[in-house]
Amino acid sequence: MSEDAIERVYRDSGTQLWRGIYAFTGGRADIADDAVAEAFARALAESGRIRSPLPWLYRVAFRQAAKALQDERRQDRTPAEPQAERADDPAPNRSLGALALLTPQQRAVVFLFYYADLSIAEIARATGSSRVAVRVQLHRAREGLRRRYGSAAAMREPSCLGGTDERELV
Amino acid sequence: MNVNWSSELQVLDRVAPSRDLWADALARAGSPPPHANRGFPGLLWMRPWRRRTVVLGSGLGIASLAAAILVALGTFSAGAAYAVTTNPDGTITITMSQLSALPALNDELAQDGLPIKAVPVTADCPFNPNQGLPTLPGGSGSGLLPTDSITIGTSEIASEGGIDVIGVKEISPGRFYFMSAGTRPPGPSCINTAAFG
Repeated sequence: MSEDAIERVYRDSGTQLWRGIYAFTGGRADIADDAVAEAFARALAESGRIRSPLPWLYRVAFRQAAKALQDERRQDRTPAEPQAERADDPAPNRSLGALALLTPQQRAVVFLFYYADLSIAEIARATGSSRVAVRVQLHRAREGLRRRYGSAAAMREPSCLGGTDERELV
Repeated sequence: MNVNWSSELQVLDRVAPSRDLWADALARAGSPPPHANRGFPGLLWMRPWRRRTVVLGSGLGIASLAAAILVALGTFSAGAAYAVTTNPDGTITITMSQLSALPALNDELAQDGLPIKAVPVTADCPFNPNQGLPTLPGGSGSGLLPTDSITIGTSEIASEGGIDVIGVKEISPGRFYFMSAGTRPPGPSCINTAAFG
């Protein structure tokens, strides 16, 4: 894959990738900037060995962003503070609306499924997890809102039991 | 609460990168970090080689020259040529049973976006990372048992736009010596045996 081809991916999908990282991090534009730039830099360095650039870029950028959030939590954590009381997710930006109610992993899969329109298999590759794990995250995103508000959230959900990658409506 | 994600996610249409990240990526990929050119011909920069630490089952630790690298004796499931594991602390463990697995291992590392490259150690390789650097004390693992895995902390090298190159020397079937060094991508394709001291 040439540098020109990677640049085309950036021009075509870079902003969408950035928005995915922005959602994942709860509205952290600074981390999204850094993660996306780093992902494309590594793509340039590894260009000869990348077969499917977009899932690869998502995976690298998600990993980079997750590490940035993790590093921030470590720096913020004081020895006297019980780790169990730390939220797994830093306070998300309220402008994210309902997305802000989800965990970072749920935001990532919700974004990739409903916004980036990726299949379950593609999301699994992009997030470095299994198809089952992706379905579980999507299911939990819906159930989390249901428990919080006491009514079913009207969101499309893939068939969690069907074992297919069809983008089904529930 | 009824949530229509298609409309909820439209909030993201209003946000975008504040600058040209492509230029940022090009700069990261093409420019050496500030501490470049520390004496390696053919390399932009290279951290000194770090000798591995082998942790024995009894808990006996052997001194390491760098905290960023750890080789652990571990189990390995029969049949697999290699395995790549991401640990909870962010380190990466590579386990090998066959030297011939290096190409497939490197493909997987690249697919995973991990800044790691594993290369064989050969006697005729022109690349000796110790040239131009202070000699590391000790031998190439004399007194240490060959092992089948290496655990690497990649955050430091990745933050500098580099990769960790692992030299793999097979001592006996399924048992290896590993060494690791940070370098600029793409890194060497082999490492001279003399690098192991």
